[in-house]
Amino acid sequence: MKLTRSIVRPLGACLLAAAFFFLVFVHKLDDVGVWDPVELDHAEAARTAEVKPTGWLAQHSIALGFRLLGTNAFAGRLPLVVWGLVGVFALFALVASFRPKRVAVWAAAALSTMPLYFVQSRTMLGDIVTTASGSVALAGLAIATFAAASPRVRLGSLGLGLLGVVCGVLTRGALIGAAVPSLAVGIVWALTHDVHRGRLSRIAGSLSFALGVCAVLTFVVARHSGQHTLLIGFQAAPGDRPTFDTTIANVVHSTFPWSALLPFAFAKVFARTALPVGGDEKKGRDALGPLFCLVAFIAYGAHAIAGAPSIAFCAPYALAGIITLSLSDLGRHPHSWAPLAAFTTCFAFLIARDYIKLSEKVFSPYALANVALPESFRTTSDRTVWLAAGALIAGVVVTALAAQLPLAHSSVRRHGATIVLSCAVISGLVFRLRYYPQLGTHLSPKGAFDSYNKLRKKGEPLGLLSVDPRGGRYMHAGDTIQMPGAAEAFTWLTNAKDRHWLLLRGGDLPTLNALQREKEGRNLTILDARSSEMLLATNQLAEREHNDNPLDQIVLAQAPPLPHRLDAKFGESLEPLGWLTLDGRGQSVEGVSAGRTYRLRIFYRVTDKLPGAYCTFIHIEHTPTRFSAEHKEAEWARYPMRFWRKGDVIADEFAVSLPASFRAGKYPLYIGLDQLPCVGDHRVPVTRGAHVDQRLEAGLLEVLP
Amino acid sequence: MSALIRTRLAAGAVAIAGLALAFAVMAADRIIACGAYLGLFGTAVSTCALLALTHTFAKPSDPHASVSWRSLVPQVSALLVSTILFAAGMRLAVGGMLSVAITVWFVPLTFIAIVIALFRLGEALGAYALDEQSMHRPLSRRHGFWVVFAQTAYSLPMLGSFGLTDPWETHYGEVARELISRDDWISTWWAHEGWFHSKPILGFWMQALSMRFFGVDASPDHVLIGIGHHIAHPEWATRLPNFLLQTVCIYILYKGVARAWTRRAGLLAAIVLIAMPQWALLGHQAMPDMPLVSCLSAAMGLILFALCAKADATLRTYRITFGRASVQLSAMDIVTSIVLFTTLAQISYLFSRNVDLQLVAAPHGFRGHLDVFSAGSRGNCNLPGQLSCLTQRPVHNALQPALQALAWLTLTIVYLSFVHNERRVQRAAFLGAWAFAALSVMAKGPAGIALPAGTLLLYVIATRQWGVLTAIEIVPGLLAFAVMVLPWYVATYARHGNLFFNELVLTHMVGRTLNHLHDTNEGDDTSIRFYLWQLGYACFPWVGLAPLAFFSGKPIEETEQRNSPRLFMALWLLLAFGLFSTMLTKFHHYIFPAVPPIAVLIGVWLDKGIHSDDRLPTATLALAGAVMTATVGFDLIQNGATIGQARFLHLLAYQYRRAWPENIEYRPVLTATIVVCACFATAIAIARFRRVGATAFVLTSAVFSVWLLDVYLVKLAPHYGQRPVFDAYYRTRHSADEPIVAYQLNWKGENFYTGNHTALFVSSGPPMREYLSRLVRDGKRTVYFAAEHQRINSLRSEAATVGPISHFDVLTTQQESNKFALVRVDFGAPR
Repeated sequence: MKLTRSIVRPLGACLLAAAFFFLVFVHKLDDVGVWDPVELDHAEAARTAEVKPTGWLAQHSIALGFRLLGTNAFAGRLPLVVWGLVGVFALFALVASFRPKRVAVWAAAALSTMPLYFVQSRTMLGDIVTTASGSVALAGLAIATFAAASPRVRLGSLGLGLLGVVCGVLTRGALIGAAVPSLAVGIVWALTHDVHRGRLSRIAGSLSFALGVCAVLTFVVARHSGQHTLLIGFQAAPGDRPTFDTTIANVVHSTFPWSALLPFAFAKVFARTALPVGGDEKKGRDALGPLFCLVAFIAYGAHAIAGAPSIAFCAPYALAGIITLSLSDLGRHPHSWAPLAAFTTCFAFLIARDYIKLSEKVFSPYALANVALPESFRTTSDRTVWLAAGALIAGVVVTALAAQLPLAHSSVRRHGATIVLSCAVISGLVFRLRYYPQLGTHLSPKGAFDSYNKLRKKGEPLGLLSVDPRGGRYMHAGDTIQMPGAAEAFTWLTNAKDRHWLLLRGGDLPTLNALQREKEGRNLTILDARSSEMLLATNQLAEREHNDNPLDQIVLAQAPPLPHRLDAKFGESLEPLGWLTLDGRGQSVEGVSAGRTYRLRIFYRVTDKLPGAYCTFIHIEHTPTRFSAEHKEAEWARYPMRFWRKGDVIADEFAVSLPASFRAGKYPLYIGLDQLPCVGDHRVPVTRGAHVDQRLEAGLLEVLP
Repeated sequence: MSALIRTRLAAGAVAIAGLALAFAVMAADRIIACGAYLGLFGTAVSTCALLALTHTFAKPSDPHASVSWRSLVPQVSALLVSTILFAAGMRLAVGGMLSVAITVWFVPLTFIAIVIALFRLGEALGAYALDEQSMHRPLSRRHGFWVVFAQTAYSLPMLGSFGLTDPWETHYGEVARELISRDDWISTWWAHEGWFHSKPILGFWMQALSMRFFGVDASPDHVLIGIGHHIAHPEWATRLPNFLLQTVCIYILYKGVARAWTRRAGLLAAIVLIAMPQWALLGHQAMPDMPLVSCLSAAMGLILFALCAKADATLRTYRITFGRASVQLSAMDIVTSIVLFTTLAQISYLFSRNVDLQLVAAPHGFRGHLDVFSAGSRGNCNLPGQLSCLTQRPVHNALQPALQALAWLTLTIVYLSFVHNERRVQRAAFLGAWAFAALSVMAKGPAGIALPAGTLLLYVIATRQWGVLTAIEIVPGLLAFAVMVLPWYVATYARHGNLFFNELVLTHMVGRTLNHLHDTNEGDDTSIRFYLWQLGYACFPWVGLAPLAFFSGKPIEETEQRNSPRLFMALWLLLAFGLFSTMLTKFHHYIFPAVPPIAVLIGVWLDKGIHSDDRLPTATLALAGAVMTATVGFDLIQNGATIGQARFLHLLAYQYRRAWPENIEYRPVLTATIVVCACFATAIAIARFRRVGATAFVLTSAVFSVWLLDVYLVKLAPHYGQRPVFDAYYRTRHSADEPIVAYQLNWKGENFYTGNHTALFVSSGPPMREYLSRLVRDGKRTVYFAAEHQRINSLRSEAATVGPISHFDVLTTQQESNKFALVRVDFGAPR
């Protein structure tokens, strides 16, 4: 029985842990292609041994992977997965040195399921090396300084800690790479040196402090001189320095769902009382929470000083530690559940909403600031985000409600923290298994390369337009032809008699499409548009293939049957043909209801090339406040007006959501064009049709009761 | 007839007489001199009489103290004298008779004299004779006095000495001015855009009453006409109500904090709040945000007070004898008076909408009629750009104001029947919280009730004090809420129907939550970080103590106590942050309701936490504070696309991208503050220097806030408002026959400072040329223009198309105002 317990349980735990780590870090590692260009740049630098001013160690780790396993995404990413695992184990070791192992297990699980951590581990972005080094340095130095372990273990830890510091410097320089963990340990030791009096504690503590101070001074000197970029470790973003909250926002977004627990965890971690054990262990136990907090604060300060929002926050391990330390003994304080639920629900809701409404803002830590994401991604990702947030909210709310029941106290004490932490892990896994793979699909040309590999026949060449040809190397694309420009690419694609393929960026589609329309009066044939950024075009459509050109919704050969036809003209170039209203299911409707969102599509025929750039607008007249909407340059970016050719039919779609003040009735609809910047004073004249102030009278929009 | 019945009959008669006086002032067909004072007096008398009528003054319990009215005469006299001196000082300041150097001393000192007189009165009455530990504490050792003193010393000296900021202050000031000018206190009017329905009424009433009390001439073209040949300073009158409300409410919040922790914690919390940039700056702005937040803070303070009170504790009562008669007063009477005063004033006014007291028109006397009201800016309707004046009838004619008044009167009586016997401390505090929440809603909308209610509910759930739900007096509370808040809503709805409802409720309350409405944060990241960002500046440099305040010490939910005021504050902060972060319309100042709990938490830490022997957490958090001070402060001295030093001004601005004046440089002061505060925060980390560091931090922050109010804001104001332009106009023009034109302006200052007596050309072109031609034809050859500097050349071109110009003079410089200029154009051939 004893034997079974001593073998089976550890073995089972190991297997479970292995399965978990495999799922989080290794599973389908190369399913998502190399992110173009952010990941590709790092991969190529590693492959070509290009001398880069920052991230030396990350670069060499990736290079080692290529050398051992060949040039492919899996090979490049695998060493970083190893770094990720090292960071997790270091955190586990640190927490396990001062707290029960179950707390350490939760800390490891929390860190593993933080998006910032697993995304960095599973891509060649490189910052996982900094994070893992920091985790190792912190664990090593803290165990050496504060733990009650044997001198041998502590000496070994000190060695590992120093190694972590060196690795940190080699990745992100002296400040972010080295100062963060060593200064934190050093300060905590300096503040508690009278209770940590052992010789080894003194050596390790003072060494940490000295290292931290030296690292800061080194950074200051190096930055002042502007040289020694390895010691600086990063390049500040051009333009205005980011404000102080940028780092906070990056942390909050990139560690969601765990970040929703952070405000409460910070409040708790300083308040928790030590368990009744004596000796150094107790002192170390008391120091662990403040130590993690200090790491987080110093890391925040370092990032804020760096002013480089694209650098991933270097201390997620500290956040994982704070959360798990705080929650692990929450069962002893049943009054805490309701505040936990309130704080977590509020923050989870706010952050989830950011993911949905402002998704272009949440990817800065992956150097993806202001990335444009297509509607298709948003639709699916919104559900995923709500699912993940919902899992966490459900966990804390159910636990809090259960804690309110008098009889439930003991069980809540036993299992409440487990329920909350499990829900957070599940929530993190939802991000790992659904959200980020979906995101990766849009950032990588892999889907398009895969389609090419699947559909092509032997000898059918692939051209690349504005797509980094280096990417093909990681996606088994074979030889590719780099196109110098859009015109050449179009000629190459369309003049060929046999089938040619072209991989292009979303930004080049309007140019090519306009050329195609000029030549043949139809849109370019796109066979793979799963990624909004990377599209696969061809010159011939085979059987059972269909054109998937996203511009089919905007530029057409002829308008569909229109319930509201118009006979009018703006200037000399544009004839409005009519308009229709579509409901949420895409069905044409006659009337609209206030408070619901509809799509009002206006169709124009281009009769001549437009002489300038305009905005289009609609007014739905209503007293006292009219409904108005306009499309400026940004909205026309998918198919700018300079590409509009004679004969094109353009669909201009407005989202119309009338406020409740629109009562049932018929309201005049006006449409018009104005010269940019569209302040209402240079409207394009209506040369045919009734108008008011150069706004075409387009009929009446019926508002239903 | 028994004595009781005789007393009640007398009280009833006095109540009716008081109401009648207020009613007569309101119903008069001309504005009566001193009418505001008479109306106030009548309503106050009526309020007291109603309390007497409902037997509120005859309390069964033994009084805590009993005094004869004769012994109060000196104190009451001192109170009257100091009030008269204060009012006279204000009147002279508004009239432009007192220089700034005199005003900054005279007005605050007379106000402090009122406070001292009130204290002496309270002392004589017995309320302040002994403290809660039955100890005699002189005024100088009264923490509450120092709260009021600090608030006065910070906020009052320069309150009205600089111009109104465009567009918020001038916008709201103009709506308030129109209440007086149009003599219509229900339907609010906004200059050339018609009915104004984007904000509730409290702020406008307070501003308008203050203008009436202190002698602002609200008629067209007279706002800046002061006493004699002086240029008026109406800013004193428009901003004073916010100061008074701020002072009362911060005192109440202090009382709540003092009850929950200690008096010193209350004092420190109040000082931190007073010196917080957003509280300080918005206290100097005639915007509805300060009434919202100050009343909200008072409501929270009272809830806190109630939560910490014993359920069965009763209020102290103080008897004043008048011969054989006597009245017995308690704090509950103040609560009931607030409700009654607010309601009775509205009831009188509603009655007066159906009856005219014809003093001018014949036949003289009272005349009953159905409600009618006027659209248009009286006296300005014929000016270009202004709307025509029209007479209108209510949309819902059956809902006549007198009927509404009867309904509210009935509900008020029902309310009185619930509360007139209330003697319990906890219940009285909760009823007071209801009253202040109602005022808060009257100021800016439902956040005023949503935040206290939400916070209390979460608090009850978290602490499982379910008994509190029965103590919060839901029925009388809702009644108080209804009779205070709803009369204006219903009256306005009856007049304007769905137009009002759609505009105020759907567009500006619901719409701002669910949509972007008029917000100006294009290009800014409006994610969760938006209000973290603004709170950093709103609380600078106190942000350096925020980590200590938020995270240090044992959360009280883990202590033996059931009550957890700290949790209450944390929930207030959470809900305020969550609510305003959820709203899609985001102005920087919207996060203001989250500032008071931060100040309280910091104050409490300064009181308690500073003595903690928990050195490691304290040191860690102090270092975090130093980092926060440095990182937030660094933003303030950056000169990029956004000028860092403008971030304080952005806490109260509408447009965040307006040009910073080139001749103003604050970075040296800001840099020094950042360095000093970061050093002091670091010193807190070292146990030996903790107290010194914290004290120095507090002093530095307090001095910084004085600088912010009396230097930063005062020097910037001319560049963010139009006072310099219109000041110059009224000084320069020879007569009213030299009109002023607002040329391509829509910044609202042009409306307020002229009493809306200006030709408005938001877009110029043919209409303006036609107007100018007509002026020239009528012999008015000198015309003034208020314009933005960059539009002066186009003004010159347009003016030249009207006819020959003999002079085209720009009368104000970029140094006076970097945005607006006064231009004088003399039409006619050059001589």
